Amino acid sequence: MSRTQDGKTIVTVQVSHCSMSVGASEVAEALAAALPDDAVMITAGCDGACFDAPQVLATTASGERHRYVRVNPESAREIAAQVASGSLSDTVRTNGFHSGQRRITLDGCGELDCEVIDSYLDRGGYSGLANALAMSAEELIEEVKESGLRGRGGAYFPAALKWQGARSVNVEPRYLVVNSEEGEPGVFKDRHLMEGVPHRILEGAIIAAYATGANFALIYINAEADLSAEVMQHAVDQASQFGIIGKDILGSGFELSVEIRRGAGGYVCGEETTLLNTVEGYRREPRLRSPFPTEPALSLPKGWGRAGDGDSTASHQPIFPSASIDGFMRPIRPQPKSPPPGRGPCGWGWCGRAAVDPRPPDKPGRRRCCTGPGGRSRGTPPRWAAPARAPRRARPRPDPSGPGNGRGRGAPARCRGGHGRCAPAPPVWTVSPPSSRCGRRSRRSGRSRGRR
Amino acid sequence: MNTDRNTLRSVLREKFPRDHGQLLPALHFLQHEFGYLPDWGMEVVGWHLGIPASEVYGAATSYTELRTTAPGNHVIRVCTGLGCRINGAGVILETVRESFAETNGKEITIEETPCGYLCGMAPALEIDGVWHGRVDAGSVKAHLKELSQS
Repeated sequence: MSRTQDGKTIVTVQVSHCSMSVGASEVAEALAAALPDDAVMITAGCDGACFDAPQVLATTASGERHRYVRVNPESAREIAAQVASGSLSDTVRTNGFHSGQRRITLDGCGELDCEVIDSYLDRGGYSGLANALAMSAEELIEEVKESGLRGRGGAYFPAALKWQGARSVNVEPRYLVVNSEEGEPGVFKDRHLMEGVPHRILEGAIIAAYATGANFALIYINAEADLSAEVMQHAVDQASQFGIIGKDILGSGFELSVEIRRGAGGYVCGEETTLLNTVEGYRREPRLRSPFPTEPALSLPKGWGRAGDGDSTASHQPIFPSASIDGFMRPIRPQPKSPPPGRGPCGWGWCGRAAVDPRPPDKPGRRRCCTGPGGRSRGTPPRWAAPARAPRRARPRPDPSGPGNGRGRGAPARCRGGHGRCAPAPPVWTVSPPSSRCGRRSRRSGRSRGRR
Repeated sequence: MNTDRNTLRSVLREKFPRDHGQLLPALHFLQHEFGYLPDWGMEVVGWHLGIPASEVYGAATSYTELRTTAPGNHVIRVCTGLGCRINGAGVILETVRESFAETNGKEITIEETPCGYLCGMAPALEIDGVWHGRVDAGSVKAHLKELSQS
């Protein structure tokens, strides 16, 4: 039954793995006890503003929305009193995080009731699946190819190519594995999707399974993500009841069964081949990439054709079949080479706040978490969670007595720098900062100085 | 011991199909039942799934979340992943270790996890399955005091 009832104030408590660690469950209990009967309380996932958790949203019957941040049980009772009296105050603290956001993947995260499928259906959920099932699998793959949808796991591999590769393998049965392991330390974006909009991930997984011809789907969730697994399992059960998973999905004749599998820890389990090893019951070790995961491997007793899609990629898929490709892609075409828009990084910005930023970065690595009203606060220096890079290796310098040395090219022995003509090409990197000196004594060229 | 093995084997036979891919779910079930993976339990899993015990042991020990030794009455896991480490997880770990002596002799297992996935609430630690985020030394000491009094 839909919870959007006319004339009632809807109070949304954002309860997720992260906000539960700072008391969101207690806030939800306090609100449930203190709210009047004419208000409706729903629990949703976190919307990405982790620095302000626990958050409570109150939406009045007229559509006004009030946001309360850093709520504790006492302030929850005050909120309940305000709802009862009908006068909701402004937000306790305003921040620029939510302004200027155009949410595509995270649309509805933090607002949708994750216990009830109707809230997702009311927003046009599963219409993308209906459109996809109306096409043939080959047409669907062509449409995805034209859209340029790429994976969001870091490799940005084109999704359509992966599906095509899996479809071209003539073995049965085919399995689709959704990679929700999210093993990288410092990354916490897939949790928000699983806890906030689990049906969007399911819809994307079913579309991907239809495109690849898979009749079994496994959603592989991290060992730590108990709440995510619970919410996803609930979503799978509800979708089964509605005929969205199972035999003859939406009358198309396509059959799919979905199973939730849990990981057992480790960064490496998020890697595609390691994940497949763990799913098949082996040690968590990666495999070499030929044969590719979509090809049946000789070491397996059964030839499985598999395709792995990440969580964020799966959540992007239902969006475009529900509108025309052009309508979706026009604002963000052309797709940049890297990184693609729509899925910002998560990390800590200048103000030391941790957040999941759904705004597309205009430049890679640019910090955007507090460039809204209020500007930047000169706080702690930025600490982006990025994978460690290998240090630069020392490369040997070119031979100083090489050809062209007398004309100022190459890498002469002495220079005080400044004229730049003796800068070697390509640049020579050493462990110490590259020096611009080439050993020359004067700024005059080699010809006037005589041959060196 | 034989009775336990037979009971466990019949339970596994009901819950898990006899497929190599069911190893990790079966190990999860074992850890959920016993709190850790006993050697005899891993052997029974191997019997049911048709996997040599050495391979079961090798797979079980390759995962960070599965433990093969019995934990104490209480398990405290401090996240020392990237996000928490740069937000002061070292201080939290030291505080927990120093407070070990103040817990009235209860058996406590202190573990480090590579990431608790609460990077937005760093630093974080888990006490008996409940995660606490945005902690500092003072709040950790308060939590441990509650633990010792419980």
